[in-house]
Amino acid sequence: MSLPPSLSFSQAPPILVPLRFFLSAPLFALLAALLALWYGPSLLDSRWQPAVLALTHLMTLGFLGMAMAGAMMQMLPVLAGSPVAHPVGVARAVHLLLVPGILALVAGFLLGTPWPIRLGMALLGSGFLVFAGAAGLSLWRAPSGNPSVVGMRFAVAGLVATVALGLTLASNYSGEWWLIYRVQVTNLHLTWGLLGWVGLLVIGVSYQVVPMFQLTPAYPKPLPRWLAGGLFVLLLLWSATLLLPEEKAQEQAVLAVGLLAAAGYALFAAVTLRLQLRRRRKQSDVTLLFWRFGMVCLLLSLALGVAGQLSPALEKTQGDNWMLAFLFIAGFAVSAVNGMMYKIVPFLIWFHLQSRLMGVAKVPNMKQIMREPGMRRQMWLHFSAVPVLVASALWPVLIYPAALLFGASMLLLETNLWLAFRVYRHHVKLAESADSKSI
Amino acid sequence: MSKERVLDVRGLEPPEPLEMALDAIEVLQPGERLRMIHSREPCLLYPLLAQRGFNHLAEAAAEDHYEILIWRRGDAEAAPYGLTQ
Repeated sequence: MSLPPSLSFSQAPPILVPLRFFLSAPLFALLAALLALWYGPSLLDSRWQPAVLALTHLMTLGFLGMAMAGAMMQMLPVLAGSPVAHPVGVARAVHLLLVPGILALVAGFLLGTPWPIRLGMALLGSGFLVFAGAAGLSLWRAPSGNPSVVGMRFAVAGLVATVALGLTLASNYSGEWWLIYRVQVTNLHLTWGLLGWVGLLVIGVSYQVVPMFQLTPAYPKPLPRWLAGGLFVLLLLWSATLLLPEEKAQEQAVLAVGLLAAAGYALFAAVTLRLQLRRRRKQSDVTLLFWRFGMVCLLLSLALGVAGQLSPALEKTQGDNWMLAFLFIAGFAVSAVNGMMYKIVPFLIWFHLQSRLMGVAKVPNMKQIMREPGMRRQMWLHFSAVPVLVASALWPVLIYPAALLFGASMLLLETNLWLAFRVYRHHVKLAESADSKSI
Repeated sequence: MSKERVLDVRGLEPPEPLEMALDAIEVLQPGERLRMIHSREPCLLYPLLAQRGFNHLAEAAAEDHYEILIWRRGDAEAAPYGLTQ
């Protein structure tokens, strides 16, 4: 069967299941921006500073983790045809464990005291256990022929690896023992987190949502069939290089695996950009522009990563690592999530209102639910924040304008999401008052 | 012999296909059914149809599209293939 996949629904979870995650996510990114303003250019002195660890985790766990967990709770029934069991309870538990868990971990880093880190470890460990358990079970039951299901399975495995490595590092950070391979384990932790969990989830979900929402042709068949699995195997090989006895052999193996993985992700970005050029509708669209920007940033960060691997001199400079991280996290991952939120949130509100308002009132359209000018303003703030952030790797003083722009962008994203949610609540109240009148 | 209205929603952005289908079923006359042509199976439409008292039958008509037959529950004349419900 080669039909484009569809949104399937019968057990679509209540709207607050994904929305509680979406509404929390920008607040963590806003907190990250405030931290960057507080610490200023000294942040760029070393990636090992506690404040950098705090800031990074506000972005990865707080913004990306929250938004992606919420999106997956919604997408499992819809894209994979396999709902999460007890979605309301699972969403509530995961949300209630992750939010204080992230804050405790970040506070522990900033204060330099072990107990908040240990508290954060317990909360985050159990939160992700519940999430990965529920999502894993749903994916286990889902049909294997669906490439998005395959991508999501690998992504969840990547999340489990990231969390396990993260817990190891955090216990080392807050405990009395010293991990000899700390640098290597840290690199593996961020490789699994960024390329495994974030990268594979974006790839898996794209196979359906890019053609559906951006009106492009379908991805060429070999890509959905092979790419996610191939990249996952490369990540496993990458991890296995740690077991090689000689440092020289280890370096060469990492280089080979790293180049292949970069080629795989670059292929995905290039094909996505090409499909977007062949879309059926020609008007520009906020989500499309976010994704196009994200794919260009992904390509740039991969190019920097490859250049760093090939030229050891370049790799030694701190600026290179910072640029790569800014381009990947803020440029690629945040843009993809941000752009997708602008399709998923108004669509979900429209959908739930369609059911709730039947026979009561006309359902507002997508443009009335999420206003175009607000989305565009936020998009331009984000598009200005990222280049300034990237430039701050070379001129650290630019961290101030970058943090201001990024913070403003996240504040506006939060506002836009709340305004859309307000439209939902307003119409639900209308329906309720109509119900009570008719009784 | 039942009459059919055809609604081709291929190439439209969500939620337009669902909106158009919900509008189209409003004006179905007794004995009439809707044939919706879509590039994917619109599973999100089904609970909305059920809520409004409509049945559906989806067929993977060809390599590149689905056809979904929609008729009012209890309208035996509009039901395809002699389906009784």
